[in-house]
Amino acid sequence: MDPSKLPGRALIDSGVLTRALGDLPSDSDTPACRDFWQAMLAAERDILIAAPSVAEVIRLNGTRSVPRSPQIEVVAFDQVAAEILGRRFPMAVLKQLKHAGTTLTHFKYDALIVACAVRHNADCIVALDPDIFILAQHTGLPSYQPSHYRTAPVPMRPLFPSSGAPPGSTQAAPLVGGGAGTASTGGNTGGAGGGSTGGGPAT
Amino acid sequence: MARLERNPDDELVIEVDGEDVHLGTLDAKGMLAFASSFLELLEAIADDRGESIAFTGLRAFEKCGSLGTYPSDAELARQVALDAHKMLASRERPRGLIQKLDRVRQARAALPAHYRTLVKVRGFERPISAEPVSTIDELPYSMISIRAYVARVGGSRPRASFKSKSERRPFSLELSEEQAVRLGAFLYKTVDIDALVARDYDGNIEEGRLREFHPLTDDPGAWISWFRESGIQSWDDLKKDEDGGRDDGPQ
Repeated sequence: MDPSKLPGRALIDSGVLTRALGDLPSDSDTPACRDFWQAMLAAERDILIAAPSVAEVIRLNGTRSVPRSPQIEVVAFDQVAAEILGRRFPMAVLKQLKHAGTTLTHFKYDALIVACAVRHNADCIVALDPDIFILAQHTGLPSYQPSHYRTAPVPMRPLFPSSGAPPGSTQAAPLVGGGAGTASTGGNTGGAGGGSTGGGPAT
Repeated sequence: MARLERNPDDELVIEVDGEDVHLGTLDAKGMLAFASSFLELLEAIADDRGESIAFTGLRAFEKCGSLGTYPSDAELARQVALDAHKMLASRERPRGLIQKLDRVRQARAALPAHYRTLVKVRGFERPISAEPVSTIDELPYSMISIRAYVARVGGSRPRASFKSKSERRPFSLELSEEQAVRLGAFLYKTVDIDALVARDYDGNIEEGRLREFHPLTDDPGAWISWFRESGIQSWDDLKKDEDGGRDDGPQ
């Protein structure tokens, strides 16, 4: 990881969070997620986790309190976030941005997470889920894969190799490559719900 | 002599509005007495909060009739101007501020009857009333849970000032004496707070009350052990949509 490239305040999506904390150890995206997590802590940058992501992660046993740690901040979906969600993502917009590879329920859930990032002034979202990139781009918030912060350049891979751009969006071009809204490395070739294990809400 | 570089948004403006009111017709003595009493009230309110504020520079300009001055702390000026508005609009007579409030009311009442007076600073704008009003616009309150730096705790009516990366501006909250004592131990530190707040038209926190705060006590490594104990074992667990996975519900 290149510390000079790391964001000051990044919201990480559930898929990055769970991989960073030990899930899917053999997944091809996991090393980058763990490296990003550790690099952010070492560089004393802020990691934000949307409260809906915490709810999603607590599936095994939710009785233990969520840690309160410096640098790692669970950010609430509150009134301000709700207003952002309602204004930026009315249903017509969600239906327009949604593509065939995802469900509207899934898409609405991702929009909650993006709204949390905007509300709590994240510099960017770090995610693996193509839906997050589409939604973040709609708000103007940069979004990256964890591998974006690796020092060595990584090979580019199209986000939607089989079908091209998601229907109803014009974001296809910026979603490949090394910059904002990228999906620049392996693991996200499965369309919505991406993640190299395929299926499920691997955001 | 070097010019002072100041942000125009930080200027505190006392404005008089009304038919045929402009600098050329302004009741100069009455306006100066009113402005002076109001600035003294703001200083007294700041002092009551355990802080201090001073006003330097003066300009008179056309917007009906306006006087502008720069506070030493524009954010504090915004907060005490809000307090002043609420005190002047209510029948409350807070100890230590009664004389200052009465002076403002008298000076305001001495202005011509068709004058309307306003205070403005940093986007905040409120009328200054001579008499208590029967109702103050109710602001909508909502809960927030955010991480915030404790910049100040104190005052005869306890308040705490915070800065948060989730909010554009610093803000202050009322709290109980017991909370003030506990929070005082975290002065110049960062905590998580739960608060009931009201926001202004620009979305900034205008006032509120602290509900609870939570010290940051865990090492970042605690997240890994928390996840082992509490988290999903695999995304595959959710894939079946039997545990409230995202793909539940209508399409």
